[in-house]
Amino acid sequence: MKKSKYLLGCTFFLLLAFHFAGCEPVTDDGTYVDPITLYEKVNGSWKLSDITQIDETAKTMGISPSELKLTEQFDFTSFAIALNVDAAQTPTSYLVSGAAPELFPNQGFWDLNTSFPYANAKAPTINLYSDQAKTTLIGQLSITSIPGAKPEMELKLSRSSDGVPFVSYVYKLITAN
Amino acid sequence: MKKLIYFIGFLLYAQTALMAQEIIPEKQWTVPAVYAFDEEVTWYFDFASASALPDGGDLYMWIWVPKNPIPDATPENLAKTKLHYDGDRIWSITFTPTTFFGMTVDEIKANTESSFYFLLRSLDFDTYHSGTLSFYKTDFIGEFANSGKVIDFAPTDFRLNSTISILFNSNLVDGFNPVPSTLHMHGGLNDWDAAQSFDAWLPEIREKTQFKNMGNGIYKKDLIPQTYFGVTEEYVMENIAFVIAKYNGNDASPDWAGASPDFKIIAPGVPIPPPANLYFFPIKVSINDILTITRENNDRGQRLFYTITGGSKTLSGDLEGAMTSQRVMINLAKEFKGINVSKLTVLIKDQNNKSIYDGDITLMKVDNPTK
Repeated sequence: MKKSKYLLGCTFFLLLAFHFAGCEPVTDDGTYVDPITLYEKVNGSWKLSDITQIDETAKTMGISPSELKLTEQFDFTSFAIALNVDAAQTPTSYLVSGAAPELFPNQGFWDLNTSFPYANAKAPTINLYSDQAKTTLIGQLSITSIPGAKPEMELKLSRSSDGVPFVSYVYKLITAN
Repeated sequence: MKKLIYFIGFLLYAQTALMAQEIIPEKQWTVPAVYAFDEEVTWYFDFASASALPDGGDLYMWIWVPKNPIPDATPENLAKTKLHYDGDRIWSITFTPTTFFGMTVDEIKANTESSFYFLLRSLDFDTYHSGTLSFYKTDFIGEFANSGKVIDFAPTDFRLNSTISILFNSNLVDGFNPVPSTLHMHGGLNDWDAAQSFDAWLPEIREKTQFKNMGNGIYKKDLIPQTYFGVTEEYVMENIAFVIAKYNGNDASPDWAGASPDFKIIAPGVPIPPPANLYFFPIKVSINDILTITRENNDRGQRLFYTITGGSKTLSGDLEGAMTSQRVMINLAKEFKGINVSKLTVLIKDQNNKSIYDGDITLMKVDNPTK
């Protein structure tokens, strides 16, 4: 009886070990693969499909209108942004092209405040810097829709005064390639 | 015996009266629509289908409220109450109530009846006569003066070819107390589509457009829209838009001396249009944002222009759109690049130089690290 209990314990342990082994990023040939980061999803060239200006004050107060489409105005349809990374998927520079109004600096350097999506669905943030060392923050864009099966991304630029947002711009982007 | 004779006489009179044919006016109106009791007025009666009354037939007014002005039916007195035939089966009588009744304004007002009561008849009464007719004896002007309204008008069912009286209380408008000289109407039908401007330098136009001073700061303008604004009878009147202009009183150098705010009288049966709505989007804006100015529910034909000044720079241009909505979108970041600006002064006017908006927008200070 004691022996059979011992065998049962070993079997359970082995099953547990195999179970966790299944979570390891090991390919069929046994090599290790890093998990997919947000950088891999976000980097690249994106072009605008739609942009909406949101009056955050009106929205809070329940006043209409609180949203205004800008897509067909001011050459916004020409807006494109390249979020560049190096071979190691490390973020480097970014560049906005086109003739759309410059609502945030058109060029600089970037990174994310997290390499992976938040478990609580909080929007990751793209930090924009004026310098390569990434010490001077010049802008922030929230990723309100992360690219998935569809090559689409939504970025939100918000302006606040005394900590209270009063206007936002929501850029809907699709891959430029 | 005497009683019997009276009774027979009464029966004969009653029979004769019953045999007389009653005439009923199709409509009746006054010109002006609103009048003071010491002001001349004409009462009109349209007997279009009163078959008992021949074209141009004699008609006399027998009036008993506020009082009978001719207790003795002498030929001279009867002439006072005879109506004039104007043609097209319309009869009229023109008089000044105070003179006609031999009463003061206050005495007429003191009469407790709410209307003038009268009938119209042939000279002998028996050939034809109307039933009891009436016109309201309301002291419209006195009530208007105490109403707190800046303008009012009557009748409410005015038409393109009928008289409308417009009242204006100058006591309630800044800059009109005291009035330097005369007041004049500067207006047009259907949002100035057919206009009669107050061309101060033309004496005949000064006379045509002049309001009548009714005393105590109350002014009145009587007009028939069709003839006053010079439109055809097919014209579809929707409103009368106007301002009241002050004349400087200097015939050697005639000019405006200011004007009232805009007024608009909506024609009967025309739905009241939704009020104009001007708004800025977003409500709070920084110098790095896109500002949109929209005005909805504009007047017909109204064109809007803007001037925006920030620091040393001034922008100007048209709002684009039509009657439903006109809008301008401004990229503030581009337009005021390099200029230290904390507020914008916005002025919006229409093609008639009417001020739509004149005010400042304080720009928000952005505290997050965005451009």
